[in-house]
Amino acid sequence: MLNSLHPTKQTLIKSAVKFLETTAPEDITGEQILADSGISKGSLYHHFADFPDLIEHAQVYMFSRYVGFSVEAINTLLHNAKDRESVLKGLQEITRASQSPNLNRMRSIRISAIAKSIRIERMRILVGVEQERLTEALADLFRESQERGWGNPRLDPKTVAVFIQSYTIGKVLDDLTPTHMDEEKWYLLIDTILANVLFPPGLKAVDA
Amino acid sequence: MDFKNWSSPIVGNSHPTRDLLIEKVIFLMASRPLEEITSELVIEESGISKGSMYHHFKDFPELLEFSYVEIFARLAAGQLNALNGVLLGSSTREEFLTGLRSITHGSSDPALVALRLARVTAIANALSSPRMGAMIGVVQESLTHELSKYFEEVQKRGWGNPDLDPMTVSVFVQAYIVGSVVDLLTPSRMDFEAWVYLIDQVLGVVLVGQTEAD
Repeated sequence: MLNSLHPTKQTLIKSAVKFLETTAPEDITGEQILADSGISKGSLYHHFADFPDLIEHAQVYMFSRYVGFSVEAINTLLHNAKDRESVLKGLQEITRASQSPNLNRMRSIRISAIAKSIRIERMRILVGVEQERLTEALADLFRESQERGWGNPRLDPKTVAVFIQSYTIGKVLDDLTPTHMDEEKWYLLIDTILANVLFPPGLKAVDA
Repeated sequence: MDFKNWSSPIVGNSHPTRDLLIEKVIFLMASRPLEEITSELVIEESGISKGSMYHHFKDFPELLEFSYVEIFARLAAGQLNALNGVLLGSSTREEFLTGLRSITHGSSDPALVALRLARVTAIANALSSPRMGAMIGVVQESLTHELSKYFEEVQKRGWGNPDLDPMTVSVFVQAYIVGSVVDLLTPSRMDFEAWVYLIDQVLGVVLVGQTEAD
């Protein structure tokens, strides 16, 4: 996504991403980014409608990067899967990697991007494209699993794709409270749902 | 179980003018897109003067923040009451699951969808603003606690999966409801009936699963 953009635009987005990794979007100022990137104010406003527009693009870029990693991990999993057990094992690893407490920053950025999409039309369009890419990749994974006889044939692939993202994002609720749930118990619950509802034992491959 | 004392953290505990303004914002949020809710509109709709509004709130965003927290708390109270009703009205695991299914069905109500979007905005604000974070944190903690107690009760009746940790179940149930807003971001949507079916399976197979005792 970034490579197709004008070099100045890329520099500005990269600089904004650097700040977003540690700072809330609302607390980042135009001055900080101009000083960090060495780009002039005139140039910034040539490439972006306003300063919030730059921050929105940077948030979408971060989301897009996350989508890229996720899609790659999913494709690798699908490519290497030999049987139901190996799919489950791969998904357990992805669950642990994508929902770890260390990723609370990523969850927070994603929630902020979603909240902005609710309010701001231009953000909705940018986020919608990336969101669709992730939902489709997950739906494809599940469809493929159904064809290979591992995925529950009664479930709609797109719904499963939304469901997996829903609990991953919604886990942010636990980041809000002073006391937190036991991380291992969360993984146990997710593993149980994967192994009994999405990929139940004893299915037969669908005849193609 | 009794959720009567689980009440609003804000409205009813402050000045009537403050309450009225918050009520008006909540009413508007359920019926209009968020970007249309401006201070001018709230003043016009509430009949309260600008001077009075800024006497009670530092600025318009502060009024919105309080309204979000209130919405968050009300949604929570509404969910808890509905769940409680289902538990009280059920004498078998099947009846309980049927009641839960009707709650999932009701979640597509457009007014509830609008409020869920407002809840996501409240979460986003809570993550970036310490003031909002503190207010939401208290409500969220209390909600997670109440839902944990609820699941413990369901376990005591022999319906809840005894292998699961109540607090984890509490976070999980809220998580998929809140997180399902991702579907609203894409041009094409999932089939809602397929969603109800999936949730029903998760509830019936895992959370309120058939145990060996059945």
